[in-house]
Amino acid sequence: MFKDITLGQFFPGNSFIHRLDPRTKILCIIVYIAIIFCIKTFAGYGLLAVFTVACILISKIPFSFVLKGVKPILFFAALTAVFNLFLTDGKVLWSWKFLKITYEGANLAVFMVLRLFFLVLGTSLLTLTTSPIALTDGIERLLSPFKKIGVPAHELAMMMTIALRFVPTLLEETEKIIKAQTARGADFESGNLISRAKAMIPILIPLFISAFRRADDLAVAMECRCYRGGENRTRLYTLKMGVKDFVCWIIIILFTAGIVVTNMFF
Amino acid sequence: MKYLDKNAETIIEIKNLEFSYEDAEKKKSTVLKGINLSIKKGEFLAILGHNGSGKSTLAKHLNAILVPQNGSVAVEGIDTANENALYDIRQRVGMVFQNPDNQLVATIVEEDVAFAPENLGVPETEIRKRVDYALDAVNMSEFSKHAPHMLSGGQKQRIAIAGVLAMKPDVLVMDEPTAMLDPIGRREIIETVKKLNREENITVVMITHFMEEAAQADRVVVMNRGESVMEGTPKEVFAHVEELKKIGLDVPQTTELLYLLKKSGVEIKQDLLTVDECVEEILGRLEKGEVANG
Amino acid sequence: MVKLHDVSYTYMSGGPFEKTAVKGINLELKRGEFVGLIGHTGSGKSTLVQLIAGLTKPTAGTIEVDGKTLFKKGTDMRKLRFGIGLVMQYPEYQLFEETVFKDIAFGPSNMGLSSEEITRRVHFAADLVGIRREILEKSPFELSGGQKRRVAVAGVLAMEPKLLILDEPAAGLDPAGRDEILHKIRDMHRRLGITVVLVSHSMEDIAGLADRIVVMNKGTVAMTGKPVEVFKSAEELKKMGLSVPQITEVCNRLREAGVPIPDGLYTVESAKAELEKLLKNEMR
Repeated sequence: MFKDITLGQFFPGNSFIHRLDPRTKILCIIVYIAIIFCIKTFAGYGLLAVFTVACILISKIPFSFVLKGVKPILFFAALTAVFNLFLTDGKVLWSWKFLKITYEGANLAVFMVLRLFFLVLGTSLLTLTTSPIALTDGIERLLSPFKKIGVPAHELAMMMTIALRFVPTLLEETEKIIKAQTARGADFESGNLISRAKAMIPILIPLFISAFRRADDLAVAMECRCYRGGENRTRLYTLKMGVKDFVCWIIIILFTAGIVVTNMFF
Repeated sequence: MKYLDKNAETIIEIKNLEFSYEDAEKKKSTVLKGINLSIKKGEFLAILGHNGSGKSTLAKHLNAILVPQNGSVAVEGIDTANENALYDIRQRVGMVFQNPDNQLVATIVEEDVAFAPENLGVPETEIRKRVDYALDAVNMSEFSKHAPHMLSGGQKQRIAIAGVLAMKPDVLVMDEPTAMLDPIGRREIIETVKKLNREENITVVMITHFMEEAAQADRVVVMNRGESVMEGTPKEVFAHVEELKKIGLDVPQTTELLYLLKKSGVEIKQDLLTVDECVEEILGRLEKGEVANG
Repeated sequence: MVKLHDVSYTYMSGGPFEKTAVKGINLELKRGEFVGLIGHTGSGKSTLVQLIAGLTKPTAGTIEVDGKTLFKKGTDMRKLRFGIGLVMQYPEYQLFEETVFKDIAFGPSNMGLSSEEITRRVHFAADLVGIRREILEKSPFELSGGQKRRVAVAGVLAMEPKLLILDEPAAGLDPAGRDEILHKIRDMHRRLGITVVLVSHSMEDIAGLADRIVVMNKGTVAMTGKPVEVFKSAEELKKMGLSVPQITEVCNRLREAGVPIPDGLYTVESAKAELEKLLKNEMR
């Protein structure tokens, strides 16, 4: 059941985008998200679409695979669209009894859906082309200047790494416990909300106990391997910015400029 | 079998080691009652005992995860109670545990093996070398980019061993490393450990309750209720069939067979371990009988 | 008791990670039989027992347990599962209640039994696995590893299943703990006359217990027969990553060398008896 979920969904490859420094990619995605919320015109979205499609093409990841990531938010997107469509005041285009659609509402609905769509597309392109390790590494490096003001950059990254490492293990364990309790006649399907919540106890308690036991074991194992926090720690792969990252920055700047132009002149 | 030099240098010296703890009801339980043991450089030592015999607690004293309440433990002359030498000790004595799932840190095999040298502040190029060396030593080089959770139990445990080897330790302590593995995984681990002991000259301390594994060691120490009750080569130790069974341990089926035969009056050697040796001995006896009769 | 007809199970069928765990299994287990199911990790043995226990639905084929077809329309799967006890690997990790008593009672209370009946069953199951009454009021998390394991087994036994499946019940236990749990299982089978399936990768564990051995390899049934018959094929078993008991190997080797020793000896005692005769005759 849980085996069908592709979590973290990294799509290994060796494209230009795969080889970019994770810091470049993380910062680019921040710029990208900012742009999504700044765009005011359809021409801007056109440019955004062209840029996004180009990125996907360069990454050599099949479109169908990237679009899979959008599926889970379809319901959410539809809901947002409906709310915006019917609940925005403005120039009425169509009305029936208490329902009305305004020009502004239609506009907003389309914009919201487009924003969500590109948001998910962009972020999933980041996770698809960046291994979880590179991602945490990138975050750690980006946050390290803030260590002085008390941001625990290394600890955050370590926690993320361990979480990623143990997600598949704990999912497998959950599945096992569900099966074991089902075999003992546990019923997870019938009854009202309260009795269903109660039915989760035989799953959650063993799962928590197991997670704590694992955490305990892992802590000792890490100590045995001389772990002592982020001080004086070296890395197998030290992140290095290269020419490709420079090229990427130029493209992003040009793209941002393009969006600014569409916002001003169209 | 490798000859164990009685005069070999001692690498870990345990003197009068005692350990006890108080449970929730303030009842004191003594886990270790004055252990004396010197582990020789280059030997393959098996510590045998049933669950609760104190063998895991003893193991945790070897790399200063626990420090002696009474008595002392010294690794290459360094007292484990010396807090300043903590990382020197842990680097020299690598430790592998029972559940491979709970000791791997990273989501990629090579990143996990690199964990210890990263902690030690080893330079980047040297980390690379150590990772390659360690993965090669456990025969897992081709899996360097894999995710640990996709590997078999035996493979995961070999990664755990590689993760420790990357510290370049002198001693490898393993606390029931095969308890959760199937026969194939178990064989993989034993072969790996024997190879490391022979070829890399790493001292191995293996804690186990599997007799077939202890039979591979140079020396066996049997623990019961916090005490070391027997010590010697596997042949010497396994000859004590009755005593071992009394403290909840097994002997290899071959040894038991020869023991039972001898007990019922058949003149036969008793201190043999492998199927080969056992078959040979029985055939020898049968032939001798034929010669005498003919 | 159990009939499998052309049963297959495929994970994530259609996707790139498709993996067939078992394929085309035809197998029949008789009432009251003690079956040893053996195979190395990945041979499909764990999938097979989960299919028989009605926890996973086969992707092809049908399974009949106690005259009822699993996952057929109109079959109340939950009721059906009450009659099939499954003890999974490392079952102590599924303990969750405050007391041992409550944990063992989890199964019977799911069955909707009266509280007197539940108490009777808890005591009965606890006796079977050798859990003393005073332990019943303790927290299961205070117990030793071996005790936890037995409590978990009792939790399944308290449902009084007609078919009991145990997946590696001795894994991770020390020799004393292993012998204890295996002896309890043998006693249970004798006393209750239920059908038992014992999954293991250790031939030594299964040899003295099972009436019949089913060997799994690469998702199919590779061999089935009495232990004596199966252990004759030592070479084939080795190729599947399995080994015959050491003692059987000794006897096989002696026979190959021309020693007149009967085949099918798989306990140290029986081999000793035969060899003693031979050796004493020769000596005379």
